[in-house]
Amino acid sequence: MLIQSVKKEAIIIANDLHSLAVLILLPITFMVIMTLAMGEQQENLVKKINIALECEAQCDEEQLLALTHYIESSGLGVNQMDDKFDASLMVQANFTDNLLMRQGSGKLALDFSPQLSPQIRAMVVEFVKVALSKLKLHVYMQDIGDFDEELPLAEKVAIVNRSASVDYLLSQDEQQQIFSAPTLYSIPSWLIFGLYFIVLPISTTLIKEKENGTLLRIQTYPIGNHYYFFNKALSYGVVSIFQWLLLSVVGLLCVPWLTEQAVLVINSPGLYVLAGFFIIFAAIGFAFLLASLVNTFEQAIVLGGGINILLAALSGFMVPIDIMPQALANIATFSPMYWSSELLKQALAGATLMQATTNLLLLLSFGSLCFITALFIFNYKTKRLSWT
Amino acid sequence: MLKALTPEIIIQATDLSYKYRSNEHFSVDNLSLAIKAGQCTGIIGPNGAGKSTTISLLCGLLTPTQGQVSYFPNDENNELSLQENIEAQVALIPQEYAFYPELTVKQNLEYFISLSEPKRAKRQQLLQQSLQQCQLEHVAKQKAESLSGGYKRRLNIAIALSKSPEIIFLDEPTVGIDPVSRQDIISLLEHLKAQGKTLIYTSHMLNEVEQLCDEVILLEQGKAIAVSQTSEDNMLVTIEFFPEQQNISLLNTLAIEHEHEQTSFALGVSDIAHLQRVFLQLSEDMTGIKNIHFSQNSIDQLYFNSYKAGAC
Repeated sequence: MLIQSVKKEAIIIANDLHSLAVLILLPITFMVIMTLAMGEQQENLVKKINIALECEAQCDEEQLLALTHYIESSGLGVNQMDDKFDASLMVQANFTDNLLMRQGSGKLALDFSPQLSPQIRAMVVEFVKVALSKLKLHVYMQDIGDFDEELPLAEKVAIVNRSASVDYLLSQDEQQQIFSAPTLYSIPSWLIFGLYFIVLPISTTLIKEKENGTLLRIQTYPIGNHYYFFNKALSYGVVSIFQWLLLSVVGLLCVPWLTEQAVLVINSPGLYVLAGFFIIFAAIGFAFLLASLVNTFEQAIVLGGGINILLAALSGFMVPIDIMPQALANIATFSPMYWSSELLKQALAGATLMQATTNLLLLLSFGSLCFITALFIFNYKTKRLSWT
Repeated sequence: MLKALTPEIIIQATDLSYKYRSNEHFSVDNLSLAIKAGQCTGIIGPNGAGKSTTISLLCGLLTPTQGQVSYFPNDENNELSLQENIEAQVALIPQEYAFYPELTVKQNLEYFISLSEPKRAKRQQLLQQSLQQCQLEHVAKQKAESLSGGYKRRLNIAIALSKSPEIIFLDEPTVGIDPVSRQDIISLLEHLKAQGKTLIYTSHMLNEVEQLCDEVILLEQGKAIAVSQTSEDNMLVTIEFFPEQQNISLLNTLAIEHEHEQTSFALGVSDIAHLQRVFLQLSEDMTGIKNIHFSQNSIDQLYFNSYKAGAC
């Protein structure tokens, strides 16, 4: 019976373009878009920001050029005031005196274009501060005679950059570097998003079976409601395993290749497989709970689709949790999608089974609770089925 | 199974009542009936008469508020519970196409057979048998959604037959199909009857009910207001009493089953001798009679006479 059930559900899904789009196409599209977006934010976005640099009064030409170099070395672009710019830097009179000897009130006035987002503004301020620190070191070294007077400006800038470098002081665990990859952020998230969308085919099949009398007919077969219910859940489990494998191959290999990002390596293969089963268990339990609650296709789309999108947003799939307000970030820790994505990231990053126990248990408990409640509602509703 | 000379009762409903939570009145009200083995029993009545609820109670989909349903009431060897009897012997043919349109005819049958039959060889045998019985072999590999209305109806029936049931509940099995396909399906159902299957049939197509059914139960407000033996009786005598003036002794003499509030009674008459006996008994005691109506016994007549007589 299980083989026939799996075959039936698989054929139904394969014939339903909407289900295929939601289960396969949608998560893959999101993986690609969000990986590109995240990669852009971390690497290329800075290059797109142009800063206009001007002097209010008479300026030290070398200092101005050096400042331009230091700003550019952080990746930002520097233009003239009449070009299109995202931020402007106005060097006020007596800036040099204030820079080296803290005399006078000459400052560097920083102003932003209204279109620039708060996150980018904060990043630009940090980059300008670093550039100013280097300029201060540059002027100091010049003042105490560290530079040969004949040395070209580019050489001086190189010396300052080397002196100011602190990379050699910072040690980073190689395993931890995986978390810097934008693929690690986007791929597990959207893979899980796709798995939880199994709610739509499950809901629509259950509604169709109720509406066309199939469920009524099945009531006279020698199978209990609970047996039928769990058989259906198992069938969808097999469908989800196939979806999981396909999305894993696409997400871990194809998307990084397509977006020119590093290929994701599964550092804990055993945990990755285990995580797959636990996530699928929770996703199908949740899907059956929602499917047992809805009575119409409209309700299935609004409730099933809506709750999934809401959970994805709350779980940090759309906006990273790090930049969410604390209250929202706290809510995310109660989301099954959040537990699922954390578990998957742990498996990719090489966590041990012990380290992943909390997320595994949370998913197991959530899935079990959903299945029990869904079965209770399903039984209640099927007992009220009658001949049309 | 060969048809018994004296049909045995296969389903017995006694004082059956059912009330939906949302309703003030009982949808089925103290109804007693007996379905005979190997016969086709029609359950007819206007919308809201309680047909659906009665069938839901008979096939175990609903639990009666009071009264009981029993299968094989006279078979002492049958120790199965009501649910077990239903699972083993009953198949439903709903009015809707109760199958999966995305699957082929064969896949649909394979799935439903797998719900009741664990043995592979037996499953294969049931599949072939159902395809053959409903003449679906040449469309076995076609998707159900691509079939014509007539073939969809056949598939609906084939799925029920693939369970090898003894009792089949049918709801308007010929609705929405052309006359040729309708006749094919009626022939198929007659063939099932000839095989000894028990059919319980609901339909608004009274000519079909008349053609197929051996007995017709007419329901109104959850009560059986008339029962007719369609195959034996050529004439119908409808006796209408004044309110609260039922002539119980006359009804008993004529062997008409009666309920307390009922004012109209239909009596099937099989031949002239029988009609003469009825005339004689009526002429001896006319107490309480408001009207007597003679008509040709057809389901249409039974249906309309019963309502015209103010039974509803």
